[in-house]
Amino acid sequence: MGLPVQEREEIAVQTPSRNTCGRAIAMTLANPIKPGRSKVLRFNFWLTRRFPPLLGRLRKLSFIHFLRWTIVSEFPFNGPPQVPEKLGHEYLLFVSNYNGYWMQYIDAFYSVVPDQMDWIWGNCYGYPKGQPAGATKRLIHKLEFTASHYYSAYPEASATMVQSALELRKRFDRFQAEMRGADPSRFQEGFRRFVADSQRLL
Amino acid sequence: MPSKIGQAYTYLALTAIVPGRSQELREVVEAFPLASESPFARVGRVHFARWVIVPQLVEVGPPPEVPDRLNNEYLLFSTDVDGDLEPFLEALRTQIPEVMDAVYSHCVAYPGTADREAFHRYFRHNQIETTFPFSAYQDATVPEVREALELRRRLIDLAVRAQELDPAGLQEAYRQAFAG
Repeated sequence: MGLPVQEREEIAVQTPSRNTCGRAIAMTLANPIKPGRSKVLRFNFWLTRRFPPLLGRLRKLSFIHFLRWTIVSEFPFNGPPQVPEKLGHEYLLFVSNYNGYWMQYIDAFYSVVPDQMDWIWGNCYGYPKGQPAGATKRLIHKLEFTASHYYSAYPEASATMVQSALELRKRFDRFQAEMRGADPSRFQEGFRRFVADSQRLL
Repeated sequence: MPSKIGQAYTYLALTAIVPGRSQELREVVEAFPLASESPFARVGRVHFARWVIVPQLVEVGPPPEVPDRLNNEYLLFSTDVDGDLEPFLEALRTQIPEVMDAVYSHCVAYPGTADREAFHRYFRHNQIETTFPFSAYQDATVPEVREALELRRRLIDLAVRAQELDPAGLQEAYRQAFAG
């Protein structure tokens, strides 16, 4: 969406394999924050944490395992031979673990949480606020770091599979309790009902 | 504490690489086996982890942004783990000491795993507190996620087989699969 076929293929081809572990994909970005805007960012994050509808919209991004935004005000200093940094900006680090396709991932952010995209990256340089997703994709592709090592404890699973499995676990505990002492006919009926009721989780 | 999310902890550190050693460090980190053979698999409590070498910040423009230049290269370590920071750092120190030493000996002022206090102090000093963490399953531990995924796999298998089994056969198959 929003990108010429050639560029779309170029980005797809260039997504580095070191950023993947099975189904899991690592994204690591660092954006310079505009002067004076880190307070705005912190407030927006604070609001999102405390206002359930905003958090609820993030939960609709069903392909996310874990993600975090981190404001880097200064780089930790350990003494020589490290040279102290003198940076003109604070930085917004975005670290995400997701599954699916890079292009769809960005599109989904745009379609599910467009306001939050603006609320967050609108405080950073380079973010093409109000422009089509294609411009954002170009920026993200430029900003993305490649992992040298990436690990997932359950690489075979998508985030949706994990959430389904955890919900299924709860239902299955109830099913087991209900079926204790059941004869074969009652058990078969109960199992069929359990499977039918849990179809979307399987 | 923003780094805490549900039962999990999101840790991120930026450690300066000793000048001239980033290529050597890259070779060490990229040589580690992946997936279930990754060193992080031995730590047990790790959901996700990454090491990223940050050689320089990317210039995004357009003006008035004035690009920054880093004076050092950095190793970014980001991970999502069960529990709290202290036991996680201790697990890194005691369960994969040779890995931590092989990696962080290329970073400025790394004290090594032998000195417990200094090791913990180093990773606390270089930690960047998370501003906003998010996970859709923040209360599930790694063993709980794995156990649930295995249960789901066995349930799918039984649901498929159930179509060909009579009531007694289904109950017996269920007992074999789950009652163990």
